[in-house]
Amino acid sequence: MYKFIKIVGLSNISSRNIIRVILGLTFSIAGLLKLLNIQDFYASLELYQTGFPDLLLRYMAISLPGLEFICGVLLLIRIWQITVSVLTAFLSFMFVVILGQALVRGLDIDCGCFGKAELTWMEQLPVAFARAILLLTLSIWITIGAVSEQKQLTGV
Amino acid sequence: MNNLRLLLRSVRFDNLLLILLISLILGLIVDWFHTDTRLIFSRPLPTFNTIPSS
Repeated sequence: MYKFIKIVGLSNISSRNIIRVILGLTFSIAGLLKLLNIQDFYASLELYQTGFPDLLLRYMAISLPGLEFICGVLLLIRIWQITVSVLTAFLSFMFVVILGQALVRGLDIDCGCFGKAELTWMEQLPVAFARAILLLTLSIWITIGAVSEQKQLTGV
Repeated sequence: MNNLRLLLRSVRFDNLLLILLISLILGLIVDWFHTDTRLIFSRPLPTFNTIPSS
């Protein structure tokens, strides 16, 4: 446990560090669960009825879980912080858009955010949408934090 | 505006591309091992039976 705290940089307790670790854990766990059940994730992507071509949906189902997992891990171990936090914010924005359009159209589906895990109420669209907005807010916050840290380092 | 410019300058596009590439490869590898329900390369690989000449 102490090693984990040291690796993720939680020995220096600050709000930004805590948020980074929460975001990192959320993204890596969600990515891993989806990665283990790629076929189910593809099936849930189809349910969103986005109108994207099937091949594009297949490649999205293939690459999104890995992207989430890698972003989560990189956030945890603090590598390429600005690039990863911008990518995390972009991913969260995409989740907000996709979940928002499903919510507006009144689709009665599970979000598929955590793969096959049966989390019942957490998988419901309104909850998933609220979670995506929270993730977007937090990732924008850590992006701003990372930029201001860079600013201090470079003195721009 | 200054912060946005700094943000855009700080994003390393080579790192971004590397992350995207690794995630795609990771997904393809995981998918490859689900032989019966592959999303990409979904057609089963051909099997060759050798028929003895006799």
